[in-house]
Order: sequence, then structure tokens, then C-alpha cells
Amino acid sequence: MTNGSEEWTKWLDRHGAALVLLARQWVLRRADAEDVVQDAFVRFWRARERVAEPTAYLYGCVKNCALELRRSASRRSAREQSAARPEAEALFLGTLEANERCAAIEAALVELPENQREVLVMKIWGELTFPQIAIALEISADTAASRYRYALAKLREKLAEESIR
Amino acid sequence: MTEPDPLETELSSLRPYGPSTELKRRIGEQLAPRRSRRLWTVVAAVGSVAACIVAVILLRPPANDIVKQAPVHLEPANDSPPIVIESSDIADAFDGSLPTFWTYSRALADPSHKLDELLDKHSVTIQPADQRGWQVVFLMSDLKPIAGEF
Repeated sequence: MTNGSEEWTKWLDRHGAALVLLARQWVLRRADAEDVVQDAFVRFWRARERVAEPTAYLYGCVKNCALELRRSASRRSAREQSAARPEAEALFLGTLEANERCAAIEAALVELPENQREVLVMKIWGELTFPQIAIALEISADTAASRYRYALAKLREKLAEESIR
Repeated sequence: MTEPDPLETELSSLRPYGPSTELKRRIGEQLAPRRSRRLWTVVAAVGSVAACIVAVILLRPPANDIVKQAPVHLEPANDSPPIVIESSDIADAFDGSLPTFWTYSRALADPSHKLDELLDKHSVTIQPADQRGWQVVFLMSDLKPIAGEF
């Protein structure tokens, strides 16, 4: 890994979208998610040479920072939180543009259990392997794989329900 | 080789929102080489200290500016040679062992009659046998009240 000042931009270009999406599994607002990614990325970049699996560490940092932000946000009053709650901030590009299928996927994704959703995001959009996901989430690779399978099954089920309606 | 899951393919085709340019800028600021920031901090600190030292040097009054008076020539009433009293450092003017105006003023104010002891002491120590000669220290301000007697 080089120490070039532009090297970090390659990492951000490669993983930025998945990281923001991952952060949004715990924080609602996109702006908050970007704050999370900023803190996590800076933390990752300064420690990247000391970790065995930098990519997994980066995603783990995002999860930890997001949980920290959510904990601090939960200390705010309910009034403040409801005022800060976004009306509708889409997870994916084009979701709000009359793409019903895309909107249905997003809605189904939001309803997944948190531990399955995080694995799905890392696998699909982060393109991490199960061993990498296992390191990031401090679980076994088998657990990561099974959560992923459960997530897909539930998504399929919810999307089928949606298409019946 | 297994067929790719159509749902997985469909999910992969969805593009999540990427990081904004503002986020990139903020990260870039935080990851900018800290050396330059540290260098500026050191430069600012050294500059401040240097400015303080210069200010102290410029604003401090010169040490020899406290009392620097010309020698005072007093004409005695008789034919003895003129008395020349050299001005000296202010520290000498307040030296209790020297026969200064300040020493005598203190002795005079002392109710235990130390003035007589002091006069005796100084009359003994200013004997010609002691060839060193005394340098009597007075300030101009000391002499003004008594200058009329000469």
C-alpha cells in the first residue's frame, strides 16, 4: 500500500457509496451517514497499515462510528429527533423516480433485521467476501454466509408479497 | 459453477448514493499532511516568543539610565581643595554601611539614638591613616536641601 496523498481517494471512490449505504442502516439522514463515513474513513486511513485486513476494518469502522452516532443521537430529546427525521431520503439513485420495483426493493431492505441487512450491504454493494464480512462484524464466516442467505430469502418473500398486492 | 441468483443480480444493479464532493473535501482536509500544520504551529509559537523577547528588550529602561549625574563640585568655605562628590550607582546610595543621606536619615529617625554611634563610626573610618579614601555617595536630590550651607 502506497502512502501517496491521492491514494485515499481511490479507496473512497471504490467503497464510498457502499459505506454511505452501510452507515444509513443505523442513521437515517444521509448527512449523518456522511459524517459517519468521514470519521470512519479517517480512522481507517490512519490505522490501515496496522491492520491485517484493511477493507474489512474500514467497514467495521463505519459500523462502529454509526453505532456511536446513533447512541449519542438517542440521548437527544424525542422532539429533536422527530424534527431531524428526514421525510424521504432514498437509499438508491433513481428510487424516487417512478421505479416501483426499485422502491419495493428498498422498502423490503429496510424491513430486514439489522444483522442480515448489514451482511447484505457488505456483500452486494461492498463486494466483500464472507471471510472479510466475518472480520468486519466479528462473527464467523459461516454465520455471515447464513445471514446473507436468510436476508435474500426474506427479500424474495417480501418482494413476492409486494407483487401480489 | 452455479447460476447467479437473479435477485442478487438485481440488487447489484441498484446504485447507492455515492459520497458527496463535500464529504471528499472534508476527508481531504483531515488527511492533509499534518506536517505543514505542525510546522505553522511551531513557526507561530517561535514568532510569538521572539516578539515577546523583542518587546521586553525595547520597553525595558536601560540599567544606567536610573541615576547618572555629573560630578558635583562644591566650593568649601576655607582654602581646602574643592570637594568633588562623584555620583554613583543608586544601590550605593542606599548602602547602610556608607555615610549617605539615607543612612543618616534612618539613624535620625531611630529613637534609640543610633545617630551618635553612626557619627562615631564614620569619623573613625574616614581617618587619613586609611589611605584608601572614601567615596562619599550622594545624589543630587540628597544635596539640594543642604547645598545652601556651602
